Amino acid sequence: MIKKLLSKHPILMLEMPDPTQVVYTLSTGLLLIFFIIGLGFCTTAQELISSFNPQSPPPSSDLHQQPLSEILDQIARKYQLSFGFSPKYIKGKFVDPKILKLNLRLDQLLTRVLHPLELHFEKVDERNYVIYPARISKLESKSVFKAGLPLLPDPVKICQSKLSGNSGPG
Amino acid sequence: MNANSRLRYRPDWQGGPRQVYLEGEAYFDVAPSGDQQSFTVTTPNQVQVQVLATQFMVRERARTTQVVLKDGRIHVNLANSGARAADLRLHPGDYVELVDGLNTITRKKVEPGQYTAWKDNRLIFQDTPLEDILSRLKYEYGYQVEVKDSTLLKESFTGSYSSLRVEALLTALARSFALEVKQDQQQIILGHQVRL
Repeated sequence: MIKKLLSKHPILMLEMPDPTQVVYTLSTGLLLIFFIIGLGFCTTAQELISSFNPQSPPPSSDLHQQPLSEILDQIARKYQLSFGFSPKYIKGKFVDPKILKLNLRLDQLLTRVLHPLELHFEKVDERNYVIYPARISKLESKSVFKAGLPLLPDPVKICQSKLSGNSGPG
Repeated sequence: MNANSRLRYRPDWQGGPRQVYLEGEAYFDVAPSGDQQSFTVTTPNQVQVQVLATQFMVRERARTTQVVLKDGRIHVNLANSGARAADLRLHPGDYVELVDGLNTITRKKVEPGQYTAWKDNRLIFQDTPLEDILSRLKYEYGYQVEVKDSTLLKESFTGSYSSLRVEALLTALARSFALEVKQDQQQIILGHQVRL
C-alpha cells in the first residue's frame, strides 16, 4: 500500500528521510555543538591561566596587563602605605589589574600579586612594606658515581626552612 | 637647611645683590626683592647658583654639588669651579651634578620632590644608588657606614621612609639585598650578601 502510494507520489519519498541518515545528521550536529562549547571553555581557561601568570610580558592580544610598578603605586595609594624594593626585581613584570577589584585583605592581595612573580613581601612597620625576591634554597645531592655501583639516593629533610640530611660530607 | 649644614650671609645686608655661602644642603624659596636684585648661592667648590625668584635645592657633600630646580628659572655659574661649561640655565625639574676636580657635568630631569622631601621629614628614593643612600646616612645622621661588599654600592633602591626613624630603611635594605645589617650606636655595617 505504502509502496504503491510512494510510486504514485515520488515527492513523498523525498520528505521521508532514511532513519540512519537522521541519526548521522543529529550526531554530527551534537558533535559540532560540543566542539564550539569546548572551544569557548579552552579560551576562557587560557585567559584565566594568563591572568594568573603575569611574569611574562603581556601578549599583544591582551592589552589589559599593567606594569607591576603601577599596580604597587595603586595599592600604596589605596592603603596609604609605602613599598621599598630594588627596582631590578620589579621591572619587566606585569599584573592583570582586575586583581585590584577583588575584595581581598591587603595581605591576601599582596600574596596574589607577588607570589606568582616569585616575590615576597614583609611588613617593616605600620606604613612600610619591603618587597624582595623569594629566596629559593637549592639542594644538591652529595651522592657521586663510583665505578660499577648504582647511584644511591641522598634523602634530605626540610624542617622550618633549615636543612638537615643524613648525608655526610663527600 | 638640612642636618650638618652651614649657611653664611651678611647680616647687615641693606640692598644690592643677595649672596649666601652654603656648605651642606639647603632648600631655598627666594622671594623677589623690590629692586629685582639677584640671589646667589655659592658652594665651597665655587659653583654659583643665581636666581631672581624661585624654589630650588643645593646640596654640596664630599666635593659633589647637586642643584635641583623646583620652580622658576636659575643660572648655575661654573666659571670659577674648574668645569668646562661656564653657565647653565635650569628649568623646573632639572638636576645638575658637578664633581669638584672632574670636568663632567651630569644633567637630567627628575621629580624634585624626592630631593626636597627631607624638609617634611621624609627620605624618598627613586631608583637611587645605594652609594647615595649611604652617603645620606653618613652626612645627615653622622653614621660611620662600612660596606663589606663594594659591588653593593651600584645596586639601586626605591622607597619612602620617615627620616626620623632610619631603622625601617635599614630593615628594608637588609631584606631587599639579603644583607646582614648591624647597627651599633653610630656605626652601620652592611655584611655580605647571602648567596642562595
